[in-house]
Amino acid sequence: MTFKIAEKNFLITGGTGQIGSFLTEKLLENKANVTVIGRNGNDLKEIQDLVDTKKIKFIECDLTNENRIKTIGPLLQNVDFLVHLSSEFRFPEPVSLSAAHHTVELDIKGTTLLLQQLKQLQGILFTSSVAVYGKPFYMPADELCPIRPISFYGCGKFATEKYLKLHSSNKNIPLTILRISTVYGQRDRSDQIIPIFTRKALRNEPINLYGNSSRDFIHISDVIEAIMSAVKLNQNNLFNIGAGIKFSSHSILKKIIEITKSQSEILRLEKSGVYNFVCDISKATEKLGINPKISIERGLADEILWHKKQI
Amino acid sequence: MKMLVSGALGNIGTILGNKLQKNNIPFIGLDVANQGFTNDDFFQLDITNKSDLHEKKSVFNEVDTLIHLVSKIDAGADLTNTGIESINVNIKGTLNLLEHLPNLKNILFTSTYMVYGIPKQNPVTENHIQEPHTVYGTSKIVTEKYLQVYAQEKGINLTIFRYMGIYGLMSHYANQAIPLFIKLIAAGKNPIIYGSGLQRRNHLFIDDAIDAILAWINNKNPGIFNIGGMDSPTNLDLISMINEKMNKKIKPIFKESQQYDFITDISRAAAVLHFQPKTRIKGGLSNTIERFLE
Repeated sequence: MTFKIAEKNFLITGGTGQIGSFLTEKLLENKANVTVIGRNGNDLKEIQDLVDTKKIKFIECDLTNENRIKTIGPLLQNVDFLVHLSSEFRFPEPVSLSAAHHTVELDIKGTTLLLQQLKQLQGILFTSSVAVYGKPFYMPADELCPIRPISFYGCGKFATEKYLKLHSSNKNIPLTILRISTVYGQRDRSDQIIPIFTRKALRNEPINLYGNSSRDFIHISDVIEAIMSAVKLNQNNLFNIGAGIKFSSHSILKKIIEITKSQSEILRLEKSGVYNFVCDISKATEKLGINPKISIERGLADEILWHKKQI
Repeated sequence: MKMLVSGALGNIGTILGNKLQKNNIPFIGLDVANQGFTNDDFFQLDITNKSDLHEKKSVFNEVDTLIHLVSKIDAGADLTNTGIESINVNIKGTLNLLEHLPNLKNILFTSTYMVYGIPKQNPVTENHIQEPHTVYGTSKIVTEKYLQVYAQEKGINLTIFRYMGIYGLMSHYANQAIPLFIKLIAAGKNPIIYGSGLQRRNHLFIDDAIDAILAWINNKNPGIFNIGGMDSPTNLDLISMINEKMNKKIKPIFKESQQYDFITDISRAAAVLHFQPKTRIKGGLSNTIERFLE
């Protein structure tokens, strides 16, 4: 039995972001009704047109605002499926207690307060992060790898998983958790290495390469495919979502310079605490039937083209 | 430098405080309650209130060791009910406390066996998968992770006790088997057993729970430790022992329910903390019943 998406009422938190905007489009293609919650109604980016033409509903709400969540409750009464993407990634000091407090407010309390309003849910999908593994005990990291976050961002993601799980088993609502590795591709406005390198390469500015970490990069279109497949399955499940391949920062930078034909000079700077990560995606491949299709070269070329248009 | 006990007037805190005084171990305490307690080393304050904490800045600057007992206990499973209060006290309260203790070197955090959820196998070791199904267990496993990140970053020695259900307390948590059985049998009423009565738990006697803290104060060895009792009686065993002690012959009523054994492996605490429980269940029950009858 698969979950029928057409005609269902989807609520997407963090819907103005990279994953949220692409997913909104995909759900509309599948004839779902979509409501998006976002922090800032004045900055809807890619979903602005969809809101203006009333193809989707937008509700402005900061999930750290308890009163606001209670106020919008009546608008959420018929939500069938929650796609919980909302996340704060940018912390000036990721291991400071103010960052910790913020993750408790947004991830833990925000999620709990939202769940209090959603009384008819038939399914939940949460985009967690491989940050819950911290520096993994072994690699490629599968879903059984011990949880040992090294940042409060990772703690917030872990906490959200646990609180959603508690709610899901108590209320008998299927919960899918996707622990996603580093997402890249169009609409990537993060401060991760690909957007930073690309913008500098396009301007032929010198580029700082700190250490040489390696990450598991997954293209946004593969992430969307994984989410859609998981929504259709709608079972209690936990999956790592990545490409299962790692690329070093240096090799990514070389590819970007090659694609952009940039004159940028690479400044190699030492950095302590190099991060290495690659995940085992065999469970997602088997159960979701997905296999990352976009090669890093194609994905990068596509993202670079998008950044060019933004400049 | 000073040692601070948070939740000093709670179930564990009160008994710990008496024991520390008896052993001439100096400490300061805080609690949201007061109970007419006046002492220069005691502070009545609410850890969810930052300005309360801020007022004690000069004293808290001297604290290098924290025994963090404050908890809101809610063994229920409905997050939409009391979830926010539990998050505010257990998680945010802990972060508030850390924020106001800038010179910490050692933390002892009391967590719970409920972080594991239903055991996949017994005995449950510290590496057992953590899938809590209670609001309380969830708040504790999450707080553990926040503490680990903070301690790692600040170079603080962190010890986590995952306590088994504790009996022999002055006041009782609602719905715990042992105090409920004693109360009902004393009143001549039939205790209710959920399931067959054959489920086993290594219930922890309060004095052993306190001794584990004293062992930690001595060596401050870091890590995560199950702290549980030495015997694992069934519920039927408990009822027959309580009947025997109270000279009664009251039979239980059985109600159908999901049941499972829960026995924690306490060998790591023995090896690393040099702590082992000393109280046999029979002695612990007698002691509890005597305290109850007083």
